[in-house]
Amino acid sequence: MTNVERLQEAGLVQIHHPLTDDEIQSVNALSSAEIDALISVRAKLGDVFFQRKVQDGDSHRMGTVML
Amino acid sequence: MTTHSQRLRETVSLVRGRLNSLIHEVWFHPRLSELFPEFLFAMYGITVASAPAMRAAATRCSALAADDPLAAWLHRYYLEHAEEETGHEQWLLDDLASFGIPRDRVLQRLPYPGVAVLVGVQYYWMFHVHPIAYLGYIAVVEEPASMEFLETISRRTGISLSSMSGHVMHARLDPDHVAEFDAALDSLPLLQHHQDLISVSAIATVAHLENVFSDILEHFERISDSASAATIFTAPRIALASASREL
Repeated sequence: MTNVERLQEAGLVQIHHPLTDDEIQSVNALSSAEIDALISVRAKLGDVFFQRKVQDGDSHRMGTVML
Repeated sequence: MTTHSQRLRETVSLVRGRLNSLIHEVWFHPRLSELFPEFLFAMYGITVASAPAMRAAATRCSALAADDPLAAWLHRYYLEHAEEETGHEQWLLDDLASFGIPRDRVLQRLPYPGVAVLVGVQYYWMFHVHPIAYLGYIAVVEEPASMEFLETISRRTGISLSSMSGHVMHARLDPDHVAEFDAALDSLPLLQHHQDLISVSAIATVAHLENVFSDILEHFERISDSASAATIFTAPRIALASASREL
């Protein structure tokens, strides 16, 4: 079973919001520990859906926290 | 060849879409000028914990130094970084004061449980697994906004830059932080289990930060509930006009 299939089985990849080819490549490069972590925290995968609200480039300019 | 930092950033980018969206919701909230103190309060809770957590990680590195080739480097890195971060929470207290929220009221209020979770899991990893885990936290959390972005927000909302001194100081002092962190990470002779731990820590940090930003927005929504509103920091519009401290 590929990493993507594991995440699909865990319900983390939505049928209506499939991963991009680059995302699939990144997911399949992850280790088993990393996949377990994604499943454990019920990570919301895939940038396309969420990025609809975020204008291009804003995610970098607005930062995360500060520190 | 993919470097440690490239791989870490790719992994984080896979999972941080929702976090980006929540951060965007806060910064572009139609009532940001009222919401901002609540945002500052959450940031205060995170910031006040940074230098102590780094010193704790350094202490743990000292205990591992005899048997761990990474411990000496990490010990030095965490101590230097803790020194840089020390006192930064004061900027946030000053910012909150500029909105009319006195320091003692901030200190009396319990931090969000989500902030405690965000920081607390790092203590578990550093003391019970390996202190390199904290690098995953730093990779996600330490990414200051740009000055251009803060100036745009200030013009749009009327919040003065002097009331965003915590954000402004980081934007000015540390614009190259991400590149410097990535270069440091790439200089380390990491084994697979180190990479996994850093990555797992980063993934968890994204998930816990989502909860913190959700809390900020949800707390603010409770303003309409008078029973809950007393526990929330909001800015009356009049406070904005008087917030004119110079940096």
